[in-house]
Amino acid sequence: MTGRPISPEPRHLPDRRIPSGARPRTREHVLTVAAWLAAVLVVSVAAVGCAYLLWRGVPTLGRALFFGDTPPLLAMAGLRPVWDGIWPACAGSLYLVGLATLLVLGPGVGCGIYLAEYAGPRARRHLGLAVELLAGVPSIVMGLFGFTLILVLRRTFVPQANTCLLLAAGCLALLVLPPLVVSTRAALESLPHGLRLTGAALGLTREQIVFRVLLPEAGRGILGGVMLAMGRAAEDTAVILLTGVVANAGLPAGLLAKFEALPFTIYYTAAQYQTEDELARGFGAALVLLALSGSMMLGAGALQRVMERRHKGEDAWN
Amino acid sequence: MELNIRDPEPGLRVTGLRVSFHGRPAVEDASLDLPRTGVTVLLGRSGSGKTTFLRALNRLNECFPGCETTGSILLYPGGRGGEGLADGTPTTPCGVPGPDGPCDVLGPSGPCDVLGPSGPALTELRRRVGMVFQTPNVLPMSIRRNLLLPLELVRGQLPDAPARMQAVLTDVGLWDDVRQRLDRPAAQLSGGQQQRLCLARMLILQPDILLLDEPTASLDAATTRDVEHLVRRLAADRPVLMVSHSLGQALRLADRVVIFANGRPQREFTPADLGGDAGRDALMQALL
Repeated sequence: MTGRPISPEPRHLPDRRIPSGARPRTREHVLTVAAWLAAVLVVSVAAVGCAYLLWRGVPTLGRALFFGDTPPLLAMAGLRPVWDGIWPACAGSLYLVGLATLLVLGPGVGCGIYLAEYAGPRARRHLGLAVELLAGVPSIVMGLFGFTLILVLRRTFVPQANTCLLLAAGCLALLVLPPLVVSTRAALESLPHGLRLTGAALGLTREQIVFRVLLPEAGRGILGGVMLAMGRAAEDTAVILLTGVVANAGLPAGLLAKFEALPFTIYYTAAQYQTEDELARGFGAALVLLALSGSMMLGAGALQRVMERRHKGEDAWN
Repeated sequence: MELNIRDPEPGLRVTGLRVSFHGRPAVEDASLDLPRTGVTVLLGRSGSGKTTFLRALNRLNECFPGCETTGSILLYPGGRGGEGLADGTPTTPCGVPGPDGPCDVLGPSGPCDVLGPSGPALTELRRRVGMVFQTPNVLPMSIRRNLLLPLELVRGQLPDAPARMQAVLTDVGLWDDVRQRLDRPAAQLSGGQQQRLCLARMLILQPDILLLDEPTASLDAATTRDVEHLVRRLAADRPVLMVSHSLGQALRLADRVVIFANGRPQREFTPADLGGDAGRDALMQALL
């Protein structure tokens, strides 16, 4: 019995056989080790940073860090001013982040939805470019923009206008708008086209498809963008520096009042501290800011899980 | 075996249909009547335009960029349960754009944007012309919401919605499988169960015409047989137009087999034609 003739190697094809040497394998090893090292580096930097902050910050945690000599209940109710505690800064940061999130949520998510679902190619190109340009604006420039706006207002329509909580939150909202737009758009665009087709085949209108089918499904990505925006709003110092934050304002008296904020307190303490105790309070404030951002993330995650369970079914997380 | 496109009492009449994408025609000069009941199976080679033809009937092609549709698609009311008169005269004005009498699916002024001024009418058209796709496409939500959400959005809040849900799930043979886990994600069901859920989701909207685009392509033999039985039952009181690549399935299911080629129906075969070897040979010849 004769076997099938072995066809000769076609001459016109390049020789793609891997050489018997170990070069490709070595390269693969190097790449794997480099990837591992990069991952270890990220975790190590985060761990070292957190550990150092915990080491310096934990001993300062206590009633005195937040309220100084003022009775906590009176301080929280705003009946007695806090002079040497970070409670007004905590409250100011919460107000600031809450207000900025409130201001950015509608335009950010709305713009993302428009770009992903409604915009034509031309509008998509132009608006996308505008969002990218806005994303490239440094935060200090955004602060300058707010400051200039107040100057213009003072010279024109509102002579008594001044930097305040509302202005700072507005500028922060502008600063965190692009990531929210981008994440909303990406979350919607990553959904399979089949979902839109299924909705249309069932007789749903485009609004029903977007708001009842696609948005709940894209919720995780959008909430990720919201969390990113909140985190950025909580930590940014440059914008608020020029738009209303001060070292000693007490609890914010209103939207048009000056305010304190944790990032500015940390910056101010680091730059101006006179004693070791003051520096330790700065570390305490940094730890509190980290905890605040962390709890906002955890809260958003829990909210997202509840929403997803309600939308997808009871066992979506089992 | 020559194509007899005209039916004396059609449920749907397509005349001179042309569908193109970015100027390239996928369906051209297609004409066909669907009888008021029974299964019409479209057979043809891949790329012959079967799915595009199917999607033209509920104007789903318009969801794709660059689509242009011309021609006439007349939807005759009263396909089911005496909801209209036998001669095609509507008993109540229907929401689909078009003059009185049979409704012109494409409207008097040609196709319009899915989200254009005729949006609600388009919604009504797609409710009446139900469609199931080749691969199961459950919505990413619970089994219960997969059925009740489209019903609520298309027909409003109905007091008997849960009863309707149970009825259609029973109809597709899924009720016993899912009655204990209605609030679990639909994506947890097996492929066959998901496809039956898609059928149930279409049926809960009470469509007049069913379009099935290879609904058993991703199913095993036993589930395929179940779905085929279901299709036969559903075709008893409404027209069913089904795309298939399975000759055996066409022979088992079809009241009429239409050969689709070069973007239009070319020939048709009845079960009587296909009873003998000559008919089957002719069918094979037409397909090749």
